[in-house]
Amino acid sequence: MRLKAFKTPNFRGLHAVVLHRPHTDLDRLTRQLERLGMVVTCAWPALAAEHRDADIVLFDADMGHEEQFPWPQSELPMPMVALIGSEAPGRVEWAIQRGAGAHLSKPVGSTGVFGALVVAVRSFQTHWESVNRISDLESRLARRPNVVEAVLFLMDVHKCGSEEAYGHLRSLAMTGRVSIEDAADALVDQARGRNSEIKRGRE
Amino acid sequence: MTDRVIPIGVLFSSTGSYSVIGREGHEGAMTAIAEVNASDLFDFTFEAVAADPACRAEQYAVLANRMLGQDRCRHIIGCQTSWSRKELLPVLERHQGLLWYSVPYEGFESHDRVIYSGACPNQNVVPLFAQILPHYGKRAFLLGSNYIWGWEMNRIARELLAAEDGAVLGERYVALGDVEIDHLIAEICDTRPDFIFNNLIGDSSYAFLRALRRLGEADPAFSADVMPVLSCNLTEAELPIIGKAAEGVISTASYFESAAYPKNREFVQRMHALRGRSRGVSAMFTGPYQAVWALAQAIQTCGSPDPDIVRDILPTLPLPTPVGDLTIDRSTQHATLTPFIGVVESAEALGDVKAGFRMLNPQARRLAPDPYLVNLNAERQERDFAAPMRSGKEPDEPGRSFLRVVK
Repeated sequence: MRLKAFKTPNFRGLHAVVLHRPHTDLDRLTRQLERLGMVVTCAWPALAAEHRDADIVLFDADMGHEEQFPWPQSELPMPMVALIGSEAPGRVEWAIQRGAGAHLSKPVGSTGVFGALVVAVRSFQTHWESVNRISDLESRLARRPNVVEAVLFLMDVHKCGSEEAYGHLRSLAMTGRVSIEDAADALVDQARGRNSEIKRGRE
Repeated sequence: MTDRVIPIGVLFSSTGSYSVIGREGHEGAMTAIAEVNASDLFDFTFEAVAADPACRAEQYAVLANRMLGQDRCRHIIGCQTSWSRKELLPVLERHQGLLWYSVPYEGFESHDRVIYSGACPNQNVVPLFAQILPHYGKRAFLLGSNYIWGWEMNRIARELLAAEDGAVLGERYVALGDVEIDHLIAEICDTRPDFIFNNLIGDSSYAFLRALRRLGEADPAFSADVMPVLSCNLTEAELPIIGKAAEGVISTASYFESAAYPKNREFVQRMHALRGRSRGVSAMFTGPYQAVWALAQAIQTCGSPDPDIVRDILPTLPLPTPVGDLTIDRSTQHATLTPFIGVVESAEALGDVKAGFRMLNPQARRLAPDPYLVNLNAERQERDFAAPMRSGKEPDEPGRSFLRVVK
């Protein structure tokens, strides 16, 4: 039985940027982050362009606003944690829109920081895995017409039914170590070339 | 003597399921308070404000609230489970008091209102496995009582074993206080691990060790010298209750009675004179004992029992106590400790020979606390959170040669 490794989440040496006005909350948060071995930079009133390279950003959701961020909402360059004092729904919604994958309630105390970082990092990873998977599936969906055309072409070449033809296409893909869609594209290209040659010959 | 009397909360369970160690903790604190009061080193005396939460977690918060409120204590020596400690945290925040928590725990906490002088995982399970794995093997059976201590210690054990390419042959939990453990013995019989990591506590642990002893007597392949039981919290305090079934158990602690440094020989002699030779001195006793002494030294130095002032001065001081200096790390508020590893011997002896721990690593060195395991195998860690962002489709053009099979 081989062990599945569970790794203790570790933040040592990571760069955290905290976007919050000077306050005892900021001091306590900084102390907890430093206990985890992180390098902490405090920013206020706004993030600078170089903060895009931070490993984690913790931002104030109470006094926070769009202009503090040098990148648009649609981007998510790193895991983010919202620091929430006012739980007014509009503020919480904005924090989520702004990319928070986890939150800490203010006043920030001695507990909760480690857990919030772990949750934020995990939801960040899950987000990007989903984005990549969706874009992969979308591209495969968009290339379906070529797969159909390739199957029709192979039915014609092998004088066989669609299932057998699809089997041929799949074994071509496996042999070439490419996806079904790539194999279909290549086949369709080739078939078109052959057809045009035939046409030229007839002329 | 003196006019200043400083009330100190002493919060241990003298009755209830884990009262064996609770009474040790209580005695440790009370012994130190008596010594401090009799000493001419201090211009104040402590007044013990003791209470018994009877092993009921919710009682801890109620009693602590009274200590820090109407009884005007600023410091509490006590708690022996993570559950009771977590119950206390909001009370400590409300009154801005300070808890001196002195038993081993599973780590992953660093609260401003707590001084942690018990071992955290980098000071117990990590050095214990480093010492034992090379001798006995890497195939483990993990046991625990069904709450956070067992879960988290076994999780760390899994991580250490995975890093060593070891194996976990079983991982089982039983309810607190449950003594139905025959199914565990059957499973151990079937899987034949190299060692057992026992995080059962109290009665469950005693029942398990006795059943395992019977198995070892029936089949030497399961005796303690072939397949040892490892523990991170078995101390001298529990040896008389377990009896001969404790023989051969390997445990780690920041204190053993058998530690041979001169200060400890003198200390043990004094405690024997005080409590009788048959009573073992254990980490459960010395933890609170040392905490009281350290608190007294800190108050004497800064001239105030104010918890914030005391807490801030702790890391700057050597805190001499009769059982050795206590060193508190500034950033984590945890103690620097020596992870001693000992094996139980003489548990089978008759007459007035007392069971105790023979030290397996007398050369052990002090270890700085690392409650979040920040420095554990960090080089293996996946750091690059952004990797999935870039792992989109590779743009390389697929070769066309595979189409040659098409006629």
